[in-house]
Amino acid sequence: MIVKVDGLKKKYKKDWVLKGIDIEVEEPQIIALVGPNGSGKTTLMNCMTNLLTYDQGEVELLGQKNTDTKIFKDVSYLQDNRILYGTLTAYDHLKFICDVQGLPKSKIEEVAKRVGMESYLKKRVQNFSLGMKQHLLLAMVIINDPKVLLMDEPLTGLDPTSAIDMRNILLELREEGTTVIVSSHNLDEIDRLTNKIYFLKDGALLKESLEQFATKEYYLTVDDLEKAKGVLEEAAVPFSIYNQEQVTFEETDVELQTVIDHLNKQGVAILDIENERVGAEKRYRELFEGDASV
Amino acid sequence: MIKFIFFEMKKATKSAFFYMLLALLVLVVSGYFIYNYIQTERVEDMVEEAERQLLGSESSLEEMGFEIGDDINEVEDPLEASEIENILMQIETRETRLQGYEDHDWKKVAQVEVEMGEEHFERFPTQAEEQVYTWMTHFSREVHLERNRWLLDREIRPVFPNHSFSELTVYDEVFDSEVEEEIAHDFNNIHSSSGFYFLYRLFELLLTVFGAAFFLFLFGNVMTREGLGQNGPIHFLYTQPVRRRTVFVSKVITVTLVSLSTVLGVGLFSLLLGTVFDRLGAWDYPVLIYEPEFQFSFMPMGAFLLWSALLFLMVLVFCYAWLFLFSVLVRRTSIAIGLTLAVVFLGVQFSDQIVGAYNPFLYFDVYEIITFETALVQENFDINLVNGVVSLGVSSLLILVVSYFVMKVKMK
Repeated sequence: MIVKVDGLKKKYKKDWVLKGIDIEVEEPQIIALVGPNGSGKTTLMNCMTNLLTYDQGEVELLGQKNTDTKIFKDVSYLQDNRILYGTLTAYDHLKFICDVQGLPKSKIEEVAKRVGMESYLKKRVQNFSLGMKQHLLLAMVIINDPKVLLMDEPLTGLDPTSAIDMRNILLELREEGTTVIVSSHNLDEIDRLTNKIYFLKDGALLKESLEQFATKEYYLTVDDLEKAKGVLEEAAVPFSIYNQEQVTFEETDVELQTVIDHLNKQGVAILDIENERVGAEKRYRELFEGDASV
Repeated sequence: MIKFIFFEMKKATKSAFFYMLLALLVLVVSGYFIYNYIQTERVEDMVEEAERQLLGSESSLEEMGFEIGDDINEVEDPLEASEIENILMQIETRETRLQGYEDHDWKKVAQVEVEMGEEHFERFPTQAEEQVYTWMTHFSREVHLERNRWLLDREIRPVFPNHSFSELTVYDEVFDSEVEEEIAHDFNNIHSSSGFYFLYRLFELLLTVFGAAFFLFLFGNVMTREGLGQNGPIHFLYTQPVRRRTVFVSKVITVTLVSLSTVLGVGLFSLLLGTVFDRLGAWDYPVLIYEPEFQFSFMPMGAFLLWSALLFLMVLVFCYAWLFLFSVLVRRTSIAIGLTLAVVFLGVQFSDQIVGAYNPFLYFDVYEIITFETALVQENFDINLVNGVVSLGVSSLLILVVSYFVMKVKMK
């Protein structure tokens, strides 16, 4: 078992913030942990890495109890950038990890190149932008080629290019056999990373595969919108009109090809087809609608 | 562990504040050296003084109508003859001393002091009973005599002034007047820009509770900068494949090692200043060590400084232990330093009320411990270096263990 969390419960004063979390990961994959602020994502990750004690339950990573610090040779945890030392350079941080974990110094240059931070490797962290800090944090957790990688809000503060780079690195890691558990607010990015999402709501984990929610929403531009409406109503296709310009429908309701066939048959020309994934966001809204922090 | 210590050292030393305080320390040491350099009595000053004294004796002789070379047997008044004889002896001594200074013959200079001391004890055999606590005590004169014997045996150049009035010991409690007391303290306040003696005076200033306060500021944030319990850097350290106590222990070792390096660095810098601008001085210059029952001995100054540095290091570890405890309790640097300083100052202030050689607060004035001055004053010769190291070490260990467990609880 790569990750095993069994009945994890954590109480702050009188409130249970984690109410019996179970996670089992047998195959390398990317799992997203999603929930609004204060839902307990960071607490769960801190408990999993034994940075926080918990009241009940057990955690095993790579078959070893999380209390054994040796696991951190193969388990990395990307945390808040407050863990960085402002007066030290990026190189100092990476060198320390190499020293402690017995990694060759060549890994520093290698990982710096991989995350694109060669130019500021020798600069002090206190002069870094938010994005640069995120790069360093990423470098710090992948330098040891971990088998399990926990990431708390890794996309925070990244510009679009950096976010794409990070996403690509995570996908590469998955290909290399790393199990990644990532918490994020960026549902669009999560959607692109994985379809396995664990929603954390009221201290409980709702494990769902996005396969069932990972629908595409289509937007068709047609030559005659009124005629298209009539055709689709007659064919009992669930649809709506977007912005008085496009016909829109979800993949789960009807297949794209069916709609095209209906319209073509009745002589409605399709000028353009756009689509977007709406799974995670849609499910998120269903679950957390009305929560103050959503 | 060693890798961790190196990383901790890097963290401790890579800050502008650290270098600012070190620069301040260098400035203070340099400033104090300049002060000592200015205050140092040079050989030329001693020659001048010896010439002046010689001239005074010769004038006295002239006033009595006697010239060197005249026959003393021709003086009819036996009282006057005795006085002339005394002045003639005084002139001979002063000439020898002057010669010694001019030739830089330190053996001769010390020899004069030894002979004068011996003669004094011959002339005043009952002084030991009469001048027990009144300046200048018999004890202080004995110390002066033995100090010069030590200098004579080892052919050491004395620091100036080196006359019997420059000796002031803990027994010199009673003075005839305030002026006399002031003079005694002035004579005893000897400055020298030679390496070892300057370091001796500097450590007298530095290896105290004020020096400990300086080091507390230097390492004040060693724990608090880890952001204990606030997703701070301690979480980075705790997600490395090392035991958590390693993180804690390496911090203790690091601050101790960096403190030791700083004290040694200050020592070497002082010796260098002395050597470059004056001379290195003598490693085995005598430092007075009190013993029970009006006994005493001397310790070579180099050894004295090393023992002092060792005891001060233990004092620092004790202070750091308090700092660690308060850091994990309050998590704010300024409050942690403030509380540590409060405990240390109050502890030292009231240390003489807590009787016993195992009270760690007794050992902050390291010079008085090594010289057994505190032991003598408190009439407890168990107050010594070994018991100091033991009591400071054990109490530091206890506080550190408590700090570690408090930290573990606080991290929950």
